[in-house]
Amino acid sequence: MSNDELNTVELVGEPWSEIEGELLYRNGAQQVSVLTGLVPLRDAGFKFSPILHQAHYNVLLPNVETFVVLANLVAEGDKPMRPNEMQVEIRNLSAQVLAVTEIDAGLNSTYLLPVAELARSHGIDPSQGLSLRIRGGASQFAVFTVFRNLTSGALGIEHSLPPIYFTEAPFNPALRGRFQKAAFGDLKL
Amino acid sequence: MTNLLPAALARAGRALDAAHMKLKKAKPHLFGSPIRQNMVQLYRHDADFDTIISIPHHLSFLAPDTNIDITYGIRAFDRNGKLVADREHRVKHFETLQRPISELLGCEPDEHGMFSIRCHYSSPSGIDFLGMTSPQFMTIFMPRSERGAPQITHSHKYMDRFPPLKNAFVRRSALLEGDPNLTGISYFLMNSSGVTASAALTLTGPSYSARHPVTVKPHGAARIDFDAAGEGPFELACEWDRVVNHRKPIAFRRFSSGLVTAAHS
Repeated sequence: MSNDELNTVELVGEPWSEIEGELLYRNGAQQVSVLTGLVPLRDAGFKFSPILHQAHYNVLLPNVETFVVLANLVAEGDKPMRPNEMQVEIRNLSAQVLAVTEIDAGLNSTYLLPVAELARSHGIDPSQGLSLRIRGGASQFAVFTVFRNLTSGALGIEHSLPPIYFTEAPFNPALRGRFQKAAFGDLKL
Repeated sequence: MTNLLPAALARAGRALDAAHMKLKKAKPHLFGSPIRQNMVQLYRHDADFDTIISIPHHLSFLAPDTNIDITYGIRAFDRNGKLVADREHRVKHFETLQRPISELLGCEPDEHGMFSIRCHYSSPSGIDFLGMTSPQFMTIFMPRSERGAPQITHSHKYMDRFPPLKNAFVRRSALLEGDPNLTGISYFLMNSSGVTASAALTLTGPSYSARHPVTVKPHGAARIDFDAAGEGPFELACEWDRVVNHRKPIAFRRFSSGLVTAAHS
């Protein structure tokens, strides 16, 4: 593994329904870690729904970049028919849409999305404060946010809060269909 | 027998809460929207860190076709549990409320303490399919040092609605600490309940172990510094004398490089 390589790791073990793990990174100057539930490897033929990540907590300073980390996993040899594309909508904190773009996260990979760099590539000044709505994908995702001091290399990390934290609808069979239609009905990829 | 009464009261509290939410779901125009709220988190406002609170207008991405204003209430306490301020902020569709805590409160808070977030909607119309909702948020600890990186933790448990009765328990964190450059760890405890609670943090490792008892006032917070250094691994156990809702001390690790990183335990 090279120094700058990103990898998705599969833990093989008992088919527990839920596993909490500590992800720990260290580089000689610091150790950062996050406690998080681990995403399951789905059975062959599993139909993946698009995901929704509201990346509202960006710190965009001259010496700080915010990365949205999109790690994903799909059973080998069972690739989904549709690509692992996602729509990224960039807004300022006052709700104005500044750009809408697309990314292809790739399958069984980790996609690192630098928020300020993405904004600048669309002519947007990141210092005004930005919020991203990321929707789509065709696999099982684990989403993290990493802050990086571009001068010292210092890091901060946290796992995301998926929609189930904000609403019971995704896990409530009576509500799920209407929620999916409302959240993704206009999504075209 | 001593554990039965607290358990029965906790069950009764949950049943009452469930009945209340059921009423709200059935008649939101009459009883208000079903919102589970008053989640808590730590703030720091000291020589090492300031705090930024980031709150999304959560109905925007859950129900994009609606257009409902959300009023978020932010209540902060000092380390002794005294109310510092209680301010409300109205946020429109797809806006984000992300500001330093002193701006949100309209005053300077204590060096550290607990805060909570609540909300209400300008209308309950068009969001019945969301069922029960919750105003989750992120807390960003901004380093004063130019070399540091922001640290972040998500919103945690809800503030206790009923006083938890005495019932000792121990929570062992899955977070293992230790690094060749580690020079110490500061843990911040919060008492999410309205009654005084006693706790003890025990950090156990091959080269260093220590136990620090502390009493935390209602809605108060406490900082406990450990001199744990080196590889460890160090394991944290947190003993409470009451079953308070919030049981995850926030860890801030110090390294010989001068960097500090944080995580919930």
